[in-house]
Amino acid sequence: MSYENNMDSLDYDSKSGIDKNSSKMFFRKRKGCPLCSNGSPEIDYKDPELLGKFISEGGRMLPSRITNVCSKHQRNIKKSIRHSRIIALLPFVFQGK
Amino acid sequence: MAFYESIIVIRQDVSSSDVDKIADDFMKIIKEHNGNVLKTEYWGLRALAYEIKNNKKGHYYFMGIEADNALVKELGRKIKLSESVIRSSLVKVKKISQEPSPILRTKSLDLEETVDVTINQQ
Repeated sequence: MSYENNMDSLDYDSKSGIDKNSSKMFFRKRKGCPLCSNGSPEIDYKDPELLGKFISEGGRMLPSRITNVCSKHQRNIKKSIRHSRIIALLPFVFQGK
Repeated sequence: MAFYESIIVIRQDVSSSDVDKIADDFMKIIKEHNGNVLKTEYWGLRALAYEIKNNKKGHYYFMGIEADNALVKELGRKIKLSESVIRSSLVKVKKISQEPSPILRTKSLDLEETVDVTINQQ
């Protein structure tokens, strides 16, 4: 999942006019929380697709310094993920294979 | 009276008509105790994120109810006693939205809301 997100940010950079020919490829630090803007979806423990974006491939929660979520939303995400795990919508850990 | 959301996960080998029966039993209990069922949803036979008692799938049934303390205790007890329920949750919420749950929305409309999660460091 994190790889997809990487690709998204690459697209974003190319759209915003950063020179593609430059030898250095760098990630632009996006400002703001992805859940704070208007029209962003509400955090809900019944929504495993949304919450799945905030967990790693192993099933652990991603820290907010990586996902850029503000602390208020991170707290809600934390609660929802825990609740979601109990009713088996999200895994505690992804088992291989 | 307060609002509660309840999700029950029923064993995979129960047929879907029996799932309705089990859910009806719970709703009967709610009505006997002067509670209201505001919203019910059947999410279908979903794959569980991890095995529970050798079940890889489960019938998910969602209920939005209005209840008082005595009913919540009774309902929680009845859910625990039921043998076909493998997992359940009963939580207090501020309000119950009338829109379908996000799980059903993505299934029916096939529209995915885009949330950009940028990863700054590897």
